[in-house]
Amino acid sequence: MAGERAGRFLLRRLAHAIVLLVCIVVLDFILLHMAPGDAADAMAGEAGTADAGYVAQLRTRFGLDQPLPVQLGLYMWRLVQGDFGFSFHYGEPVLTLILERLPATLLLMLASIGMAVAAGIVLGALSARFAGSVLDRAIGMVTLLFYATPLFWLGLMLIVVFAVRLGWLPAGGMTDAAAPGTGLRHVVDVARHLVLPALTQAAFFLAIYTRLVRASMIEVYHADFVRTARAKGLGETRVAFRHVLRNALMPLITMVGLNLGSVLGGAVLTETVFSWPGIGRLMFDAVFQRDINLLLSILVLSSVFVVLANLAVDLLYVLVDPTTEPA
Amino acid sequence: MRPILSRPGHGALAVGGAILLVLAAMAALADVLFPEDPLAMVARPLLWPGTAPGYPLGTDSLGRDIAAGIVHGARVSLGIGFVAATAAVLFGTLVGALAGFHHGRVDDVLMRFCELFQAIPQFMLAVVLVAIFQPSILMIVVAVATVSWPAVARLVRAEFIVLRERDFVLGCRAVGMPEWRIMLTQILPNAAPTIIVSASILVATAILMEAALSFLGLGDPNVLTWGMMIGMGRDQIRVAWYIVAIPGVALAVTALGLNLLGDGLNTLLNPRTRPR
Repeated sequence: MAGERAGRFLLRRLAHAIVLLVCIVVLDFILLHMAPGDAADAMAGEAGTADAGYVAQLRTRFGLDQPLPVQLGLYMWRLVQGDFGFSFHYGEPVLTLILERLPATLLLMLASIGMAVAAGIVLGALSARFAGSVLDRAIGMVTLLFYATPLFWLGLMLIVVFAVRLGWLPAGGMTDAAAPGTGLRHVVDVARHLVLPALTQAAFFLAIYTRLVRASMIEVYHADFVRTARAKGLGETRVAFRHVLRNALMPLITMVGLNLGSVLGGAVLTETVFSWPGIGRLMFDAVFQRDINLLLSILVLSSVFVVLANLAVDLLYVLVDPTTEPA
Repeated sequence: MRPILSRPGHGALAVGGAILLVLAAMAALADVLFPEDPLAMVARPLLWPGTAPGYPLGTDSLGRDIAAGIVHGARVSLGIGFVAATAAVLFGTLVGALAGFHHGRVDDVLMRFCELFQAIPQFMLAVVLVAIFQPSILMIVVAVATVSWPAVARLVRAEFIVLRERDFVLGCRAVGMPEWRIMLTQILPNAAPTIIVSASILVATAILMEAALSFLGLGDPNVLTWGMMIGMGRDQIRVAWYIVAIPGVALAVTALGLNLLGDGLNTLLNPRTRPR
């Protein structure tokens, strides 16, 4: 019974995700059309010719002279086939460019989310356990500060302190170009370059997760089963970690899923500050090369990633709790 | 009676309010305090803070007065933050109220629309909007508002769903009050605390987002903003880090003030956290 219900729930979420993806592509198509100049203009410009005949020929070739709904259909068909167009600036298909940069961004996201979640759980649990104490207030103040600090500025200040002043860590890039290594040396090299951008990116989310874990743990502390656990004679530490924290983690999972889009958005800033060779940096470059197609493709693929990741969160939910019903 | 500042919520409210008052005064008096154009080169470049009389915060690499930049930047930051947040709150409240009040199909359609904007990475969408339509103050306001309204819509919807089942609303329906009047005069005032709290946080988010866009070079080139100052100071970070540090502190203090204000208001207005 529970399995059937979970299956139905997942199917509904899947249908939901597909509708959302179609909407994203339509919005993207609208934005593409609102941008000054179309793909034919861009190509003619790159080819160094403004010959009207050539532009018209390009328009026919790419279906740009068709009515809008037909163009939308053609556009969707191309995207489904993985054809996101060609970037003349880089001389490569847009999809290849994005996929090349994806691992760097994923690594940064994983490291920063991991750091934020781990620290958020520890700080949130401490805050909740000692609610109202000096420690709780201190943690509250620090998280509020992190929440208010612009992350691109925090990144620059970390560079000033740890790269310029102390010289402990590199100021940017993903590897040391002067001393390329392989195997373990390469791993250590990338890890050293990862520390500052991941810390920068983690600070903001750490603040959110700490507050969330604190709030949901305090709520769970009032639940009947916690009183029962205490009545059984369990120690406070055991109650906190085995009973309260475990039950307070569901909202955290949801929040991490919801935040993926913000993490990707933040990556544009972090990767720009630290010259991290990921999608965010690619987006920044695309803005200044006026590569509208590349820009919008990054937006679409990032959104697709967020939708799929949230589908995965739903799946996780079902695995953890088979009675899950959509909220 | 306990002193005012020790009551829960009052401390945060007082500190947040004081920070905002100072900033508002700075913004209002910018032309009096620093009548010169903040983009004008007025002194030797790269004067460190506290080393030259008349330039307490020093000068940047082009010899522009950083103190003037901070004061004039306050006007732009607060202005854009407030206008963008107001637009997002108005639109978000409208969508959330309609969705929460009507439920069913209207709710479904509006919430899908809302989800669409939540699935797209917000900051990336803001970057794309400003990049496509050319950076200007108006475009930045539109971009920030476009990506900020869904959070308000969800909050307002949740409030409306709870409130529309309450007895006083059912009573109004029974006596035949038009729906728009019930929404506007009965439910909205009761949802106001939630909206006010989220608005103050939204102003902070809007200010930070504007700063981030300006930092990336997507700000209005005709006005000096804190984000732009940070972006322009980036190249000198090894020799003159204060150029980047000072506007960043201004931004963080502003966002902190608004968040404290939001927290304080939340403690006072939210019945669940209100001190008894």
